[in-house]
Amino acid sequence: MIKLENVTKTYPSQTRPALQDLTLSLGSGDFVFLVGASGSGKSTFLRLLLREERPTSGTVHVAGKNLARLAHWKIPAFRRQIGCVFQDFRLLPNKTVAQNVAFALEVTGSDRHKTAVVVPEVLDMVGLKGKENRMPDELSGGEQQRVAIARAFVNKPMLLIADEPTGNLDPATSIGIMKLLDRINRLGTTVVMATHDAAIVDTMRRRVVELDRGNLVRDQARGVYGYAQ
Amino acid sequence: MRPRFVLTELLNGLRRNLTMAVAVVVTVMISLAFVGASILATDVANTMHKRYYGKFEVAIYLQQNISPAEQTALEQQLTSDQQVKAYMYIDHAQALANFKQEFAGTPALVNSVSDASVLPASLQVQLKDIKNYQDIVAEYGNQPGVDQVFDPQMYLKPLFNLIDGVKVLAVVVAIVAGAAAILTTFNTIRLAAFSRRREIGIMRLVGASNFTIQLPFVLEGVIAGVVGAVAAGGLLVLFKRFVLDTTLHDFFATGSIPPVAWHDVGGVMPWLALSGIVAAAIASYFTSLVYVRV
Ligand SMILES: Nc1ncnc2c1ncn2[C@@H]1O[C@H](COP(=O)(O)OP(=O)(O)O)[C@@H](O)[C@H]1O
Ligand SMILES: [Mg+2]
Repeated sequence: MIKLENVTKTYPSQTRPALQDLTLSLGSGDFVFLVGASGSGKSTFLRLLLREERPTSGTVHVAGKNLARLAHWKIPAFRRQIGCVFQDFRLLPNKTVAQNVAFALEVTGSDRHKTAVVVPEVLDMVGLKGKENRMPDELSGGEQQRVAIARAFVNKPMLLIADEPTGNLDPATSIGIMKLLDRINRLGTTVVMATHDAAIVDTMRRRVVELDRGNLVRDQARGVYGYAQ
Repeated sequence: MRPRFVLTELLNGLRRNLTMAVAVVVTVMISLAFVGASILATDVANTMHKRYYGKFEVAIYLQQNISPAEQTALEQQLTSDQQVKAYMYIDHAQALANFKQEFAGTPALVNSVSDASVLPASLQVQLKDIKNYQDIVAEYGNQPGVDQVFDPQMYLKPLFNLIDGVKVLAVVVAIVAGAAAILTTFNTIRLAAFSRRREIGIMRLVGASNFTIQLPFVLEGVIAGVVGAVAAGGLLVLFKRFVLDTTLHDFFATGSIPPVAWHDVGGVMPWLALSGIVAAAIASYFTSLVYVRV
């Protein structure tokens, strides 16, 4: 599903690489936590998978495609296979819950009929049934993140990328979001989630990849957040 | 891409940037109005050219007291002249008739000529090559019985210069206003892209094509082009009605410069619309390209 070989990323303005000589593969259907202190390179890693950034050296394969060889005009079609969720939700404030989710379908060319069927389905799945016509500012943080997850999932992506999705949420709400991501994973979607929420990583007991100043320092199946001494 | 979705996005965009949209429309309008003016000036110059250089290009005016022998000699010389294609004798009566027809718009002028003998008889000469008219002037100017050789070019030159001046001015203003329109379009799209940066960011993340992302910008440009073209057409109509037909009425009434007809103004409109739409679409396509980079 995802394969990185000797990937180094140095931003143009920086001298120290954000990621250094990273070699890693993630299987289809995996649930992987990406942990590490702030600035360790988690977001950079996720942006490489999305082809938002290109590595300075090394190769990135996602879904059998070498992203370095992906033509510019093929990037949109590539991204339709990937869902994204962020700490700040990134909802459109002037659209309702249903419209926010439908947006992802509309701008990728789905017909109205499909949108009318799929959007309520997905909103039901994330637990927002009955709140279709609310505006984002009428929702709690956890509910807003559910809208974002619904939008990321509405195209049935094979990969879901979550960059600190619980970063703005309280622990109880976070548990609900994690249950939802776990459910999406069990439906067959690969999930890569960057976080520095130790409690979540410890309770989920999934694969943990740890970065430290751009270096891969740990790759552990069924890991916990910190080193078990 | 759902049409209704595109339309809502479009209306939202226009509402958000109404002042800038107005600025674009105004600059497009000014630019296109002057494009139209330069087309009309070209039309007028062409009509004038046809009218004056149509058949007989040089007129040899004869003295009142020319003898039949002198006239015969002149006509023989013209017949054998290699540069002359054809000539025609216009007597006093014919000269008056032509005069009355040409200045039908100014009865005062027509009525002032009571006697046909006031207008000189002439030999209207058509040349094989109009460029050689100077030779005719030199050859026939001093012949006995010739009053003067009249070169219409000498007389028309100031008029053509005037029209050319108007044309050049209109083209220059059209170019300057066109540059202003492009800069305003650029700035408008920059602002629109900024106010839509959330949408654009999300569109890119969920995999919307560049076409989808750019479409609202290009459509906004096209709408500005259409509205600008319609407004420019209105401006030309007002210009004809209140400047050409009113303020400059007497100037055209002399008949030297052919007046601009309504169908001339109407004929310019499709070109204004076409150039407005194409230019606005191209400008907004390339400007928005900068802001939708994946
Ligand atoms: N767009 C950028 N330009 C320059 N440097 C960047 C950029 N994004 C991130 N960095 C740098 O790269 C390093 C890793 O950042 P990031 O991937 O955001 O880490 P994390 O998500 O783990 O906090 C940091 O030192 C950060 O300052
Ligand atoms: Mg980060």
